[in-house]
Amino acid sequence: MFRAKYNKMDAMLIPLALLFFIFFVIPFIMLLYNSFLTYTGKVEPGLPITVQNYIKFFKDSYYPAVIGRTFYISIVTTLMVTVLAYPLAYFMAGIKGYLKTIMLVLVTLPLISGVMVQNMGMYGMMTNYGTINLFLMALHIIEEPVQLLGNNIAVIIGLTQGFLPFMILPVMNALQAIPENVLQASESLGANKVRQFLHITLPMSFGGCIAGAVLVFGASLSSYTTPTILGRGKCQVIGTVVYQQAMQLFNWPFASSIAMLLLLLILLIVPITKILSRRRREGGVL
Amino acid sequence: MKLRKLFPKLLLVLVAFCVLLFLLSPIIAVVGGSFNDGGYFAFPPKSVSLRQYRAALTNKEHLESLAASLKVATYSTVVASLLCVPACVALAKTSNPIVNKVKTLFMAPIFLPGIVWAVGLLQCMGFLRIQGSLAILICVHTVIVTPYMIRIVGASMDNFNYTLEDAAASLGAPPLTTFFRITLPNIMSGIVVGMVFSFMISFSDVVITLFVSSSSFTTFPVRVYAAMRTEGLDPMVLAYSAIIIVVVLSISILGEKFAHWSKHFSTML
Repeated sequence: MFRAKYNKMDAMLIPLALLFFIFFVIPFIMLLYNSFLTYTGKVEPGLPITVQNYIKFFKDSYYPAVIGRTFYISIVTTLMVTVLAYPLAYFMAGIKGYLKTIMLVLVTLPLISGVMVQNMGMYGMMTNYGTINLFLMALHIIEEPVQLLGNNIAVIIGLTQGFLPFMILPVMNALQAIPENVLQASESLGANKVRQFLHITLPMSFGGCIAGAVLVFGASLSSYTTPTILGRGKCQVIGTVVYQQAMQLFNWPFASSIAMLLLLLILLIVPITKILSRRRREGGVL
Repeated sequence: MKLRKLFPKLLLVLVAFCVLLFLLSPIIAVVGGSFNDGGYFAFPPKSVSLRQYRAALTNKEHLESLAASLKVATYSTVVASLLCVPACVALAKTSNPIVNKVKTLFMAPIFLPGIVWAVGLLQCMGFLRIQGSLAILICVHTVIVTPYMIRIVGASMDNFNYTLEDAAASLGAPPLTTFFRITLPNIMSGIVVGMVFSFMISFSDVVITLFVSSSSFTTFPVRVYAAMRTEGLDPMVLAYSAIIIVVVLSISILGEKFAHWSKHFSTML
């Protein structure tokens, strides 16, 4: 039988593992436990142990609608991000030198300057006398300012902008990994640019698209700040409901059960996409 | 004939440019709007002045939360590097599959939704009746930045040639001397990139800090977020954000030029 050998060096993992145990593992255990407790009206949840919180979520007609809206927003966001990111990633895969450096800096800038700055700019542009309304009025497309904030579309636009880098980088890497001689071979066999793109470039970058799509879809499902700021409280998704229950109504057991369901959804995505990409590989495109 | 060949390329450049413009539009609007002279957001600015900057630099509450953010980000980055560098060394050396599983735990904060973890943290703190303080935020932010640190430092360990260590040992250097004189200088660039990265991730975190911080101790993004949710956009905040953007942009240019750090983004995603 295989017996694991422990190295003296392994002890150097203990401080970090301890920190993770206290501040990361225990909160998840607490979450699971509290999701089965009863709301007492006070902050501290109490006994008896029950599954009422989970039943409440599916019984009430309000919460399935929230799940539906969250999925709708996440799916549309993922599709929009894929469509928009692909040409930019294709462009970036084909350049070198200073231009490439500049592009990489610009593409990663929204990612590292933080979600707050992105939301702030989007919010400012979408207000009644913000950039978009002024622009449309200057072109005489509209005469009066249009209410842009506070609906699903505003949230989708905000999420799409914020998550674009998640798709651009993996797709760019996948495109760069395509060997030059494969393209040359197809050319020598008489394929034109369109056929080359459809039969080589697109299938060979599919893995990058899937990797990006998983990130974008998962991040959209659990998004919270963008729906709050751009949705102005009118766009309730799973994340905002969790916040409401935990921080405003102090119904911790219910907040915990919704959070557990969200966690379950996220953990389900990974195996599904693995199956998807494997089927693609076995499909025999190259 | 020439036009037919050139047209798809031009189209690609045009589409790519439009997507880039959309991606950067909030940043452009924030920086441009910060120069507007008035008590509301306007981009393009109606009349240009430094009014927002003057107001921002004299606002005590915002400056306090900004100082809190800087403190949390600095301390958590330092703590994370002190814990993660030894951990990365151990992970690189170990041949034990069980120990290697710990790495999955250290990477988990990236993959699991922040809001779920935050609700759990909130309840632990409620159970123990402790309020969000500097110490708590430092610990929590250390966990937030650990995956980035482990990935980036781990990647530079992978590139390190271990025969150098053997050479040092065969020449009689004790293990610690070998580490400080041979290993550490070789992975230093990875550690620096990881620290800069961690600092920025910690500095800009909203969701987890929102659940963990208290009214008496909160960070800048959380304060701005809370104000924006209830009162809308205060143009003074644009000035701070514009400064943050300029700082982040300069760091990214340096990081990209000297350490090609965007390659770390792709290993991380």
